[in-house]
Amino acid sequence: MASSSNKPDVDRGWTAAVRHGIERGLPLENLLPSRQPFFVGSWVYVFGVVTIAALVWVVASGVVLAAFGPQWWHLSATGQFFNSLHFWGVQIFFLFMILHLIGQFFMASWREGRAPTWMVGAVTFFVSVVAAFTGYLSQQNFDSQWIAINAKDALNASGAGAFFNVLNFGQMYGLHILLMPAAITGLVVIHILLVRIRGVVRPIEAPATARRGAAR
Amino acid sequence: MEMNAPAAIVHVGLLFITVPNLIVFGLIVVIFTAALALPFPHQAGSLEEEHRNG
Amino acid sequence: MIRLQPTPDRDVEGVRQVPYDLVKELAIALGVVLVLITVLAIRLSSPDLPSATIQNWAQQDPVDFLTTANDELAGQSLTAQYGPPYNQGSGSVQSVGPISPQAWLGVHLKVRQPQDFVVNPLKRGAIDDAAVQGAVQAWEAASAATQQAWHDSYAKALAGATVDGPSVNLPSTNGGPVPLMLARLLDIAKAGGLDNLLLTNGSVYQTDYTKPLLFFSDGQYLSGLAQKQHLLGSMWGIMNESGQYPGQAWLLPYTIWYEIPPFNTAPNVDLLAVIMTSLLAFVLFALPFIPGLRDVPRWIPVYRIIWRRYYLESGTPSPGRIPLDSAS
Repeated sequence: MASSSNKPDVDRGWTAAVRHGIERGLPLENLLPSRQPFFVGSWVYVFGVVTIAALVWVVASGVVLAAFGPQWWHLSATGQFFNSLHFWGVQIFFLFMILHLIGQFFMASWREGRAPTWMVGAVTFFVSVVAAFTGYLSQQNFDSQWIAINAKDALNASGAGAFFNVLNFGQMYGLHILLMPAAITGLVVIHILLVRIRGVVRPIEAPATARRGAAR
Repeated sequence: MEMNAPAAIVHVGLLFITVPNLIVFGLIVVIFTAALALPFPHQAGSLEEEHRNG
Repeated sequence: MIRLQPTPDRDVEGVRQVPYDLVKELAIALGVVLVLITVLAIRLSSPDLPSATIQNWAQQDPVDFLTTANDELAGQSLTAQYGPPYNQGSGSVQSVGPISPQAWLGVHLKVRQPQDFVVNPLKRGAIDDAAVQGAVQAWEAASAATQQAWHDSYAKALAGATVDGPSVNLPSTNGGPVPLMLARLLDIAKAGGLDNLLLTNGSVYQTDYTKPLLFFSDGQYLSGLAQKQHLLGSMWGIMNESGQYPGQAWLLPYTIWYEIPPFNTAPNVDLLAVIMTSLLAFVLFALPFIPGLRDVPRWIPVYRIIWRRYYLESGTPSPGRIPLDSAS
């Protein structure tokens, strides 16, 4: 960068290196672009953003539920309403995450250096399944009892049951309200950053007039 | 609708699925098909405008 | 026509750029999803089938309760024979060939079911009853063979039991102290005391329901409730929800192994399902690098519909097409 060559003494060091790396890899106009390649024009592109919107409301309703404690939603109509927002938010979240996955599959969007984006997305899906599972175990109702009793056998068979005890409400609840949402949020942030760093993938069999690997 | 009554079941051979789950799977197919079929609203300055502007 | 203003980001990287408002799109999505889940929450609420208690069990199916408790005492219940992580049994230990993570990891959540499920609750819950305490001492002092004989005799009597309102009428039995012990345990359970006695661990605070849930699930009562809600494994119940609600449909790649042959009848179906699901997960994760699978989108031309504007404009693909297999 022009500015860094003018101030060599100031712009050395790890901090400057990190800043320059970010500026090169993901300038703000790439993070929040106001333009997209002209072929980005299908509702299939909207599935991802709907998934994120659902995640926002799942986390928001979950914060309210966590703030009032695990019993609250069984006892209060307001609590039941927030639990319902949480429940349907999760259904929408998974519905559109799966639609997003199908859409990205048919676009083969892992091409041209985007495999890490796909892989982080896949991990996000797996972690989301565990998050939902711990959520079902945290409901303190018949579902929780029954799911815990049945799920223990598979977890025990895999060895995970030795340290991941689905019959321990406290352990499942802690995982559900802290570790799982933190992991999903972190993964989604990485996923979005990867998408913005690489840009949207070009159409399959795009003519070579479009320069290879340059679509940002 | 009594939401806490057990859901109806579709049972065909090995397939054993509740109607609410069937609706979810149906929604995946319907929404994906609709997303393919429906035209995406072009934003200002997109294709048509480009052609107009040359 | 002459452009009125420069468009520096257009065509610079070989692809024409058009205005696209991502933040506006996210804002609209947030609004639409909020309206949708609010309407669904108001109209349909959410599933909340109340938890079943050991009290319900003792009141509604006392013979099943007594049978289960008798089996716990004699080490013949599911839990008694389970194996790791609860005890040294082998009844529920699964393996594929030499692979058995369950056995390798060993006992981590020790459950001594005669003491934990029957003896200790009686010592605490019937502390003022000298006859019951005497019976408990007699049972503890007896040899394993004697305990087994008491179990078998009492089990035979239970087979001929009749339920008359709140009381269970048993034929005469040589069950030693067992009939008195379990009659008292049933009374405690009917009053709701056993639900809490099974949680007692010497501390006020408790979040671990391992013991009550293991005892509860050793009987038939709980699975009967689950069957009414289509939640049994044989009913693809892993992805079902109680009531009229959608369940965890996203568990299909896991639950499918419990439903299709040869897995569905295998004694180690849980371990097989975990292994197969892990394989599927790895395939999904590594898809960009798997020859053949990563080419499927090229053979099924859904992409031609998604990018129809592009192909309309650029015509048929030129010979200089970009190969699909450049994953990295």
